[in-house]
Amino acid sequence: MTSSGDDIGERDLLAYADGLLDQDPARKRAVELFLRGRPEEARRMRAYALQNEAIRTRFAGVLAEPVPERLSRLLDAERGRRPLRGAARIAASLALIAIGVVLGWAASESASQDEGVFVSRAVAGYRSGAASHAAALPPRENHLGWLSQQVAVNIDVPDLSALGLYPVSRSRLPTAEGHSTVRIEYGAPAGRRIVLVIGTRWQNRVPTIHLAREGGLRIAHWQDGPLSYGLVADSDAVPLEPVAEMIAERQERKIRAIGREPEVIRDVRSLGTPQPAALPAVEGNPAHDGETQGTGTRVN
Amino acid sequence: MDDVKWLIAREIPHLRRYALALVGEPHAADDVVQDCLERALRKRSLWRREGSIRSWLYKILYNEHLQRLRRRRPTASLENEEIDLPTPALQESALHCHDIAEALQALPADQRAAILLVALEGMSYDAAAEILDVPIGTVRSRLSRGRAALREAGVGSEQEVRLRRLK
Repeated sequence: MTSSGDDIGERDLLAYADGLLDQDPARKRAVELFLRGRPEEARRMRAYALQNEAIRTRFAGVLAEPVPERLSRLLDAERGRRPLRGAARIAASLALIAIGVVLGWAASESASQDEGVFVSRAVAGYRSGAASHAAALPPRENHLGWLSQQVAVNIDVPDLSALGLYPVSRSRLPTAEGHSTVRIEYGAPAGRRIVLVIGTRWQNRVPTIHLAREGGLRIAHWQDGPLSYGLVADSDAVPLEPVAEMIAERQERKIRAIGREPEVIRDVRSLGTPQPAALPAVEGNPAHDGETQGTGTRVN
Repeated sequence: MDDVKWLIAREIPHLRRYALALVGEPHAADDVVQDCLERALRKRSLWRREGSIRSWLYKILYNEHLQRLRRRRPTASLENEEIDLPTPALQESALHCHDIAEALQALPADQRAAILLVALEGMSYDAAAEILDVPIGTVRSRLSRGRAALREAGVGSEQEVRLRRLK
């Protein structure tokens, strides 16, 4: 511990300003001595200390706030369904169609069971907001961040070292029927060998779109990988199927194009007003590039 | 409620405060806290009891925040997306900034994160380095640069703090 002025560097000054030298009175005194002859530096350090105080004061209120229910309930009941944070925010300038995407994280494999449940949720999603006549959302609001996070999976090779097992090889198995699979082999000193295979549950293919009616509404719904989609309209005059197909087709394309930037709706209004002539044909294949989106719009 | 969950629950107000200062918008901040808590609960068996649970939680929170930023758009201005700030104007003309929250949002996310750990939580530099997963030298340089920028923007003047106390 020295009190020589030569030893005082930026790191000491910063620590002093941040109150981290309070436990080291000798060094603290040395810094104070150093600053006595240097008014500029002293002013700077005072400013930094005041910044800290200003920050603490500005945000002090949050500590006193009651914890919102959406957070406290995570600790009360962990198991079961994750709390939904509200319907996703895609709004179109089309007054007649409300596109409601609701996350369904049901573990059930039964397709028909899921269908029935999801139709109700799509309708509930539709009804949860008033019809909007607003202008298109700005492009920066097109990425569904929190939804993407709910379904994104970051998988590491499971750590089994506590059981004496260590990964000795990992390989990708050939994609079969649209399923991606990884093979991890573990070895152990005693000569044991065990293989873990992890694969996707959903096939990468264009989903079947189902139509339903509920309470005067028409619903086109389908499941695509970890997501359920429900497209809801209040009128028979609105052709649901072409819009549904466009969404389903785009989703499938995005899953395949791993590593590319997600495509974004540049201008929602370019999806067009619901006039039969303007929309892609229902029969035959859905529209491909260039046919209906001359402006290069795509659905994310 | 088991004891780890209880310990985590105790930290929620601190996490919310840090998230608000870091993210800038209350609803988005609570989204990040929610992500953090969900992840922490899933992985609580991984918390090694020699460290403080607060540090562990802050590390998760910071990572959730980074992931969230990355998923939006990989451009330099992405951390300002939640708030309509005239960021280029702030940086160019060094306006006197009356609201420290605004000035903080104008900083790059890594500088803001470092300053907030020290200012809000009183963390030592090595604790901050652990949470931000960078060397201590990096923490110090981020602090230096961030503080200099805040000073440019007029944050931390004597007058300002006095006025604030009057409110």
